[in-house]
Amino acid sequence: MKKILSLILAILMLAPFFSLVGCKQESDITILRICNCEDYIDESLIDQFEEENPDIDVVYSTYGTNENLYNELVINPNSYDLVVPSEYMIEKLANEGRIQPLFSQERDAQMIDKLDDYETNVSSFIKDRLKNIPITQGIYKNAYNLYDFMVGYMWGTMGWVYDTAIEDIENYVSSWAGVFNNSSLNGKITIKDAVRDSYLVGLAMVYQEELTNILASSDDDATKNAKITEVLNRTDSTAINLVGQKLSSLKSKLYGFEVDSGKNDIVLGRINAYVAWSGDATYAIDLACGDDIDEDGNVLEEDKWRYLSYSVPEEGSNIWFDGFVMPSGSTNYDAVYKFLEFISRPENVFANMDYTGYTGMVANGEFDFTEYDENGEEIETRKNTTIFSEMCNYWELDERSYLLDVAGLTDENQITDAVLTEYGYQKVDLSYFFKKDSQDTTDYNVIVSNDSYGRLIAQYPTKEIVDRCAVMKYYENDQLLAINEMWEGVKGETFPIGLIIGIIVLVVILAVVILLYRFKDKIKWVKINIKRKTYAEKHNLKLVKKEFIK
Amino acid sequence: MANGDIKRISREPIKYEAPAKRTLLGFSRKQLCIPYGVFLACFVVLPLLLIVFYSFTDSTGHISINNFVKFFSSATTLTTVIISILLALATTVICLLLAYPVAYILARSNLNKGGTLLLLFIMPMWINFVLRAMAMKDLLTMIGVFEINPYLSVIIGMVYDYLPFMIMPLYTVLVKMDKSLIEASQDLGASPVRTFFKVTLPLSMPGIASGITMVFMPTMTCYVISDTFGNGLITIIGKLIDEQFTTFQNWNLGSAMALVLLVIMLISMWVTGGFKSEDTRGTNL
Repeated sequence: MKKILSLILAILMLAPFFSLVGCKQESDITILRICNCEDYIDESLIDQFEEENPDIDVVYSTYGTNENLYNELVINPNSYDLVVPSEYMIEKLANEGRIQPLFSQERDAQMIDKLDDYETNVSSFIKDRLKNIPITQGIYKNAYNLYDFMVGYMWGTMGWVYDTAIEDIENYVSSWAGVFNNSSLNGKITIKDAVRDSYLVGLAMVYQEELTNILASSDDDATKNAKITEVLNRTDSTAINLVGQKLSSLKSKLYGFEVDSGKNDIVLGRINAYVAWSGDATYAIDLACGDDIDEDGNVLEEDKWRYLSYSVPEEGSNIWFDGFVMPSGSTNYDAVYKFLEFISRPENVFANMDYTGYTGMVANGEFDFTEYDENGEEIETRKNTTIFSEMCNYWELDERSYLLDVAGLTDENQITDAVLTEYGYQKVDLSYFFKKDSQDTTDYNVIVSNDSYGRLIAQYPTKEIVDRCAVMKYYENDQLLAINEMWEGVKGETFPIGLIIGIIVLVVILAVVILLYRFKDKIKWVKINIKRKTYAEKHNLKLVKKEFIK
Repeated sequence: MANGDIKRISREPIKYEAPAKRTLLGFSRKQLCIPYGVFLACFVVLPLLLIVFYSFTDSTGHISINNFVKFFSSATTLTTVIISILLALATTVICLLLAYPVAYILARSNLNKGGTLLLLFIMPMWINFVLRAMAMKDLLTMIGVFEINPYLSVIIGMVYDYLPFMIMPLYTVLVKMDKSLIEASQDLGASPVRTFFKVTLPLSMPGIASGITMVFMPTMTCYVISDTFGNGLITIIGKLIDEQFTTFQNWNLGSAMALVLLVIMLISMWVTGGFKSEDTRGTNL
């Protein structure tokens, strides 16, 4: 009886395997494996995509850092169909031939046609920046540039998020070094626990004067940017040493190094300023003044609100681009191009931006947008709207209606520069990003109060800001080794050498004591044996060997 | 008999009847061991061999001892190792000092019928330790411990997380201890203090040894706690190894570090193993 029962149980336990096998044979489902950063997509879009394409099953996973992703791709080039690294990692992967170009003559024209909308809608500013980065090594050398390898996803800058309640803090966050020179901020600052980001901060501090001079010179914007890019990509040994010294000297002024906890720490008031990527900055700013809900779904009470802002230091910073790329091992072209077309639709880009707080690379394209209130009831559907207009209306980044109210004006044309200065507002021109072509005559000016300016530039930096931001190249192996060693030195503690020797001596003494204790019986026995031996020799006796018995 | 030969008494070997072969669903014991053997080979032995291979080669695959040279010539790695050992030592000592009285009271107390009190001490272990660490950090920040010294808050965090691992083996040893030995010592006129140092403490040595192993070794590498409580200002050896693999992409140096760490662990195990006897069996969690 028992045997029969266990047999039945065993068969039951095996049943799921059989059913799975059966499933796969029944229908032709393509599996699309996507690996993205954590919390970097509105996951309901994936369900929507699967609904639209019943024959595609998306397996969505996440990775921690670009380097982790790289390791996975090295071990198995066919582990994913689409991954989302940053521009420096894309460059490295392309140079090593580990990803395949998405815009390539080898691909079917039909496939590439799916990306037509993306090509028209992606911001020309992004296009130019990416096309400027050639592939310099490996099988794709000189034939392709970075743009050919990726379908752009999100982009942004790096800067200080700061608490505006601190007196005069605006003056300190306008440079990388300023924050550290203000003694009241000691122990209230965090920087990134990531070598590339902190290395850039160090470089910008070490070469502050040179960078300021470049920006003050009379060169045109492109030349200035090229020069700044050169400075912020220095990896010679002098630069590495200087940065190492600089960062080590900052350590005593830090609250700590963080990767993820900065936004919480600043909302809770543990720190007053931290180095942040722009998308994190928008998230922190919204969270701190109750515009957003935290992970537990709570809105912050009003008396705990903090008014945070964002600033990209004057001497320049980092500009980064994340995009979808296709590992060389994958051949799942049909599903991949379908997904890329889907994810680049303006409505989906907008949904992702709304969800993550980061800024999409798609600027144009029309879509219908339905606004819901907190209870999920429809408020209004706007037909043929654009990302720019939804940004102004739905996110309320454009505050001209407030200004009209405050100033008692009725017509937008009455807003003059004098009115703007009088009421503390400013006009920000975003046409560099949104303008489709020379025929596009839409007004891409945004009017914001000085208080909300930081929030706006965290999402859409001005032309002036992006011109002083450099794309960071990936480091060659020996440069990487030297920088990593420097970073290890910064992170590690520097102990006085005398103390180290003292500790080693102490440990040795301790070890000797323990060993003596452990082998006390054996030592005793050895001593007895020696005694016996000498006694026997003295009296000329024959020694009988005895075994040690514990 | 002359010359002091030891007299040996030879006996007929006693023949035992072999017990009937026990089987489970028709598999013999040996066959039932095969899955675990395969598991062990794939996920313990093979990775260890890989670590050894990586640590003695450079990035191009040629044999070299450069990784070890680098490890032992870098002041940063050495200080990191020393700091890890010191932190682990401090944690272990504090854990021992806190856990021994607790385990002693638990083992002797009448209140602890059915292990209810023990359960209260062990229960926090059922909650994910990262969550516990986060909660504890908030508490410490509220009190303001972090502002005093990051090392202090790291040690507090580690003690908090690893205390149950020290209580458990001590409790097991103490509760199993033969009470008549203590009574005998008291009958013979020993004071309670003398009884403790001459009877209880020596008899609980196996528990202390396994408690030390269970606290000392993980605290040397548990960088989640040092990161959370030290805000990234304190680097311990585990973090260093992790960074070699994930961010620095130097698997060879990382493996070499792991191997050195393994040797340190083996040494500490060998040292504490000196106090162990068969009694230790079952005292581990």
